[in-house]
Amino acid sequence: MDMPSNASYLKATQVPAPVPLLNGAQVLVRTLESAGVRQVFGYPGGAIMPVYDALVDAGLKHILCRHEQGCALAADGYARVSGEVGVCMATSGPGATNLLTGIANAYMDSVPLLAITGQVPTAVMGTDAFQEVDIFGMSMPVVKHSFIVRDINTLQDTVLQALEIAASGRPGPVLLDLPKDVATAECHFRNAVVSMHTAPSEQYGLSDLQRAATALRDARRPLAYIGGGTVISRSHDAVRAFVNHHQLPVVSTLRALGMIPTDYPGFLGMIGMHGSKPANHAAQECDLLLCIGARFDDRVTGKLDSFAPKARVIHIDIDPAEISKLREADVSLPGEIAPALRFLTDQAPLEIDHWKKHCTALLDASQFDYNYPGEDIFAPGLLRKISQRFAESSNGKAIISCDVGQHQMWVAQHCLLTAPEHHLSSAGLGTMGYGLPAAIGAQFATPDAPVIVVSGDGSIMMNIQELCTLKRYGLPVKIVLLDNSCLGLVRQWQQLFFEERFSEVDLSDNPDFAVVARSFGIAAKSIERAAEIDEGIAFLESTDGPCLLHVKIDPRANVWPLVPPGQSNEAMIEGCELEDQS
Amino acid sequence: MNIKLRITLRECEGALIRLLGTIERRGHALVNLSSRPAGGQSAARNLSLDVDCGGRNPDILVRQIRRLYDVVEAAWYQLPEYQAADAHLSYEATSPAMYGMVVHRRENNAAAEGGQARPGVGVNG
Ligand SMILES: Cc1ncc(C[n+]2csc(CCOP(=O)(O)OP(=O)(O)O)c2C)c(N)n1
Repeated sequence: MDMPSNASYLKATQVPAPVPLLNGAQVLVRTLESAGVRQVFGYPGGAIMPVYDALVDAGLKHILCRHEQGCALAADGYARVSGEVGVCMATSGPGATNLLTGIANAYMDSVPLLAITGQVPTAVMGTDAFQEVDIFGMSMPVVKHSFIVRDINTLQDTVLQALEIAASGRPGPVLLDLPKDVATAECHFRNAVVSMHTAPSEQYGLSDLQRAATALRDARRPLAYIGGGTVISRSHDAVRAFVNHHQLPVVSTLRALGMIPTDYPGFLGMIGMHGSKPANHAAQECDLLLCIGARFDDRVTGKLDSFAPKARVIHIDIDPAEISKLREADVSLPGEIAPALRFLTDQAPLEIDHWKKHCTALLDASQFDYNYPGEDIFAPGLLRKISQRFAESSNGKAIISCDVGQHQMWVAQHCLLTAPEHHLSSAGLGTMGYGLPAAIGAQFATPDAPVIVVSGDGSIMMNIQELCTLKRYGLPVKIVLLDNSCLGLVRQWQQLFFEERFSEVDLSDNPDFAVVARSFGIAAKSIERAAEIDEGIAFLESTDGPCLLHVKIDPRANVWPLVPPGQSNEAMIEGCELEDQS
Repeated sequence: MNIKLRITLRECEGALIRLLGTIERRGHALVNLSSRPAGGQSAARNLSLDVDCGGRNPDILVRQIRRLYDVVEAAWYQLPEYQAADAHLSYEATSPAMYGMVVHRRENNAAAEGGQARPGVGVNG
């Protein structure tokens, strides 16, 4: 059966006769426009100059970021929020290599992305020409597919194919490498009708669904484990209807947070290394794990052999290669999530009262205490308050874009997330520097929603140049910078697992971030005491344009709970236990 | 476990490298490869590869290969032990220009076993 497609880029191009003669760069731009691409995030340079020339007369909006990594990550953020393919472009050589981290980020999180790179002319490709790198070869392990367009006559079709491949099935990044001579060669722009080869893909059938329904009915302690696939496939309604109908306990991966409203009584929180105690315990105790669009990532399972040891597994995923990759599935459902869940929702509600009560008791026993004594700012409490305030004032539209580190985990654990696409987090690659550029993309995708970056003093420096992009486009992104004067997550690991031998984690020589922000033309304020929190939040709320709230926090603060790397999720340690020991 | 993979691949730039990269990156060792045009109207090639999967699951590898855009079809078969022991690297891709790749020669193990050495055929090299 054909791969299901959630995009229709192939039929996009409709041009009235007579067909005009255009150069390759113009063909590229026109094709993107005709396929509905509204903006590209890019940075110019020698090999891609013909494309920048074509942009001068185009309707397509170009967003100039200040580093190509910023372009790729902004396109990623745009794609996650809009559900469309994010498009970024860069010149050959260093421009192309700078895109790579962003491409890998999109690959790991299955984000639809089209990365367009200029390339040296075909005649000198392979001669180590100026700014020539084999980006096609370098990116191969981190793209869904890639093209070098060597013939102007194939360009139009290739662009449409690239968009379609990026968006269809399990989405991912596609690279299109465009040599300069192809960008300047001419051809006629036409009505494109592109045929796509799609490899036959496995797809569940009725008997598989019936086996799943039976397994679910026979289970005494079933648990839904939902992942990013539910978000990518926009299966929100089906997932929510399914868990509601059966009143099923649910755990979520980092990427699916927000899919289940936090007031749903069976929601046990995030599972895994920094997951909640109820979520990890329920997974260890369940007798049936219904894995929906998740992939048994090592950050979720801890020691794989001891993960959910008593459970049979039903696994639904659009990508058959994910099923039984790490944990053998008892019932495999390769294919689209929503129809499978609708089938399971049509079954009689499960009778699992005893298990539900048990899960509720787990939840009740582990309520987080936000009352923090002392004068310092307690990051979990601050983040919770900010997320609640913005969720309320925006009617649940606020978007939170994270960087990577302790603060990322605090967001996952404590922020009120109203929809999974409102939570941008680099889950698979863990890319420090993701938060700010992704927020830029998100703000372009939803100009009216408040977009909040939560970053750390290490991460912000990875793409701090993008403050300039905020200023240039007047994007009202609000940055909450949690400054613990160190690389907190690494420091925490060194404290716990390397006998407190702290190595290269001290950042006490940080610049004054408020001054830095102001020098980019961005309003800024610093706070460091709990008594200043309300003032800080008021500053975020009342500033119209971009702004940065610099928050000094205790360098010794840690993220709890935590499952030590490579251990079973049962070995989870909580802060108080550790402090008692020390 | 040693397996034989039979793959039909569209003749596109990078297709073979993408395939071989996937096999190795996913933790399997390539032992032998041969290739011939699929024939007919299609611009495709049939490949036969011997692969040492170590402890990894060949089913998953085949699914990972199938999701490559250039792959038309992929299947795997168990390779008898005696064939696996005799396996050496021999690349017989008939169109080096198509694949644009350099394969490094590797000594086969036949000489060490007292048999006739069969030098691997290197593409472009
Ligand atoms: C590009 C990149 N380099 C290195 C790492 C490894 N790493 C993970 S978290 C972290 C520390 C992050 O520090 P900071 O942004 O200050 O956040 P904190 O943990 O203090 O909240 C590092 C270095 C990474 N994930 N990404």
